[in-house]
Amino acid sequence: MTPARLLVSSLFLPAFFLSTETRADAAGSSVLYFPEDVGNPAWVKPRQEQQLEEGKKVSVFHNFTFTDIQPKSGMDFLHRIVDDVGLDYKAVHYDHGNGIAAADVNLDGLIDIYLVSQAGPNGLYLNQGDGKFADATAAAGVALPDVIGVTASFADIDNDGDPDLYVTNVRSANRLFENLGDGTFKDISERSGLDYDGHSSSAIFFDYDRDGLLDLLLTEVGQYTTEQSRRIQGTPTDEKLENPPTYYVGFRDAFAGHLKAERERSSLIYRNLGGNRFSDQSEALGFSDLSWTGAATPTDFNNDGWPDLYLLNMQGGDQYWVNREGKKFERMTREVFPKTPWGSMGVKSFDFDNDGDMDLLLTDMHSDMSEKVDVDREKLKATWVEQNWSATFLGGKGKSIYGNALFRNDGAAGFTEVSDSMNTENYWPWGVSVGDLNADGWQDALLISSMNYPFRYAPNSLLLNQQGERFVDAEYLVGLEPRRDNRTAKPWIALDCDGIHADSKDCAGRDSDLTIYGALGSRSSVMLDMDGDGDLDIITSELGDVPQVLRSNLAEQKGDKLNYLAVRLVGTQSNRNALGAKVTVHAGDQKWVQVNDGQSGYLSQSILPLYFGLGDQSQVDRVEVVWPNGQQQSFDKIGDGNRVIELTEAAEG
Amino acid sequence: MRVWFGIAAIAGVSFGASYAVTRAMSGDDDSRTVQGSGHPTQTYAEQDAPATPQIIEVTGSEFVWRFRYLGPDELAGTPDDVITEGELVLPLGQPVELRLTSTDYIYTFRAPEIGLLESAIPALEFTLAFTPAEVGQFLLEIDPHCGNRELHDNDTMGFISVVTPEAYRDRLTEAQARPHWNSLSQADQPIL
Repeated sequence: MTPARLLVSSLFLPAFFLSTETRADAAGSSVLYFPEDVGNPAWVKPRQEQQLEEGKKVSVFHNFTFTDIQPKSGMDFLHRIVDDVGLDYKAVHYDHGNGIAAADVNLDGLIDIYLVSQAGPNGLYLNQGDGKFADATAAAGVALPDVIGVTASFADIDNDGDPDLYVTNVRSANRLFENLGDGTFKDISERSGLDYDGHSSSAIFFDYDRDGLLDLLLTEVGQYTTEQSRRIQGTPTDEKLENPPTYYVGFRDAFAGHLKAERERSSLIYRNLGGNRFSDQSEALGFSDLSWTGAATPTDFNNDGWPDLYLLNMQGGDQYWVNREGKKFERMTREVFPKTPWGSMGVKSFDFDNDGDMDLLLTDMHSDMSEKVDVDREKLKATWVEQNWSATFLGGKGKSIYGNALFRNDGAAGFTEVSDSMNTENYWPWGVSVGDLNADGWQDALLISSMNYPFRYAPNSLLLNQQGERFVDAEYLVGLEPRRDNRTAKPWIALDCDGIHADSKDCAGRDSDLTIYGALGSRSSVMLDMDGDGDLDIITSELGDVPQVLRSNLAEQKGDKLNYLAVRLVGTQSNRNALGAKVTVHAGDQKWVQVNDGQSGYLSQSILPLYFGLGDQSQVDRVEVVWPNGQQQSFDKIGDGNRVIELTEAAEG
Repeated sequence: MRVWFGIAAIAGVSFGASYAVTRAMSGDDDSRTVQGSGHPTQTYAEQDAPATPQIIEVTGSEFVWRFRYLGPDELAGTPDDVITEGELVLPLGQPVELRLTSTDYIYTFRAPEIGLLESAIPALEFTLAFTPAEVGQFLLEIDPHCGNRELHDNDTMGFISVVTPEAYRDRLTEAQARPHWNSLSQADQPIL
């Protein structure tokens, strides 16, 4: 460090470091919590009490609880971070974390879980039933311990009835694994043509040309890393990896990448050619999208039967691409969505108001980074963005929504943005998992939210759908928060202040080992009935920590008043997973519509049965399916609910 | 004809001091219109700027603003440059052109009291052109971009001092004895 920089650093020492009394842990190391209250935020209890009090006034059913059973579940996966989000913290896209995908990989009828780590091995956990999981990573051959992972998608790319696995990475080839039918996998990346090497994010399998084979939209963020690589040290209390991988260090101005053309990359559309081979058809399809995209969703908002694409932009406006009968994609964003969130991260298309058409819920993380926001402002749009960030940085003013958006589909009248009146705004959201957690017939939304070091702790947001009229804040009502054992922080950084880190700002005034605690924070989630009891449970992906395995007791609480139907689709003429199918369940005078898009949570795609809460209806009259190839089929006299039914596409339309 | 007062200098900055803001103002950063309560509207507008503004390179580096006042040759890095850190001194009623960049992180040059708002980003240059219309000191609030504020949790990155042309001359002359920015290491130089 130059003398000039030493001077500057001392001038800019955070007041926190100068005033905070440090503690010592059992090993005698100094302990510092950053921010100071991260280990025990004073706002948690009042907020919990307030929500519990407000819960007494709401009609939406919330008399059930989630319990984090991770320590006894066998899911001992540890997510590991690169040092750009730890020891060498900087604002870079690595802090977006990683996904979690679910599918029945060994075809035993139980949904298994694949968790992606940023550094170190990924984890495949086979469901043993009753909330128990077994680590099958090594046997399955899907650990990928030497790469920097991002996320995963399950999809049956060869229509042979088992879920194949695609894993995206940073600066190393993405991997495609063919499921061999017994829960083990074969790496076919290179032969498949899907071994793209860049800054990939989510991978969305869909059948854009309706030929019965799943194609792929591979989202590409943009170049956020330098050519400098470094071996990972990780968080201090984690068991050290024998051979920690190296990672490419991020740019210090990574989040200005959208202003630098040389860092832009287009997302790609690959066509499935059959035989487990794919071909990049982006150019032929007229598809070139340089947005900084981490996630996307297929949609069919124009109801022409061809899946369109909604691509998120985390640093600018989103993009909506209309599919012209599988031959072209045409950008139609502003015609349909005049304003979109500026910093979009998560997306889910679902029918929140049960009117039969698909609405669109978007989460905006980056607008929430423009200013420190106290707890009492979390439910507000970030109206201050344009006062804090320049028009240059934002790409203009008055063009964006600064916060989450809920676009209600009003049919021919287009979309109406109703996030504030529906109470879907929140703070630091990543992605969305949607499901009817209370089985009342209205789909709820879990907005996985929060940051880690050096930010304060923030809770995930659970929004219970009150009959399509309003979403009710419920993370404390149903026990998602506070976390198990009131955990809010963990050791994040270890410094040797008498040695190699003596020059660190954090070591000013210290000459011993220093452990800095940072906030816990989730990144992704999946809803599934992991224990087969008829209600939806939740498993999260955490940054730098073990997952939360959140078991619901709804079935126990509701007893014989629980009514649901789970629908597993089997395509025959269409793709085997029936991704793109539209399902309508009729019971009495009610009906519910879901599209089987596989979008299970932030960054990730899963193969799960569609779960329909039936409210008071115990009998199902019929289920109508519009298969991805356009064929319509009605399954009558379904009868009893509270079971998983399998519906198979007719051989001929 | 523009009058040039300075030779290379660094003005001392005391971050522990409190800065009196002469007048509370809020502004529309697009038009650079600055309106004070109880005062007539004043404009820091590009159209007010004569053809020969004082050019000042503004560089964010390690959470400090550095200012390079280009000398009569209007070239950067020549001996007639004047260098300051933390405090940007501007002449009342004379046009200035700020050229913003950064050596490391994303910064926002943000003086909300007088409606100034622009980004400073490595390898890019953005410009702010205006004519200071009011004597006073105005805080340069630190940019809260994505976590960096949490680690460098000051409220300000210095301030702007708008002074009379005479005081402006004196301030830059006073700074002559300070070390020149060019003597700093290459790593501290802005990337343009």
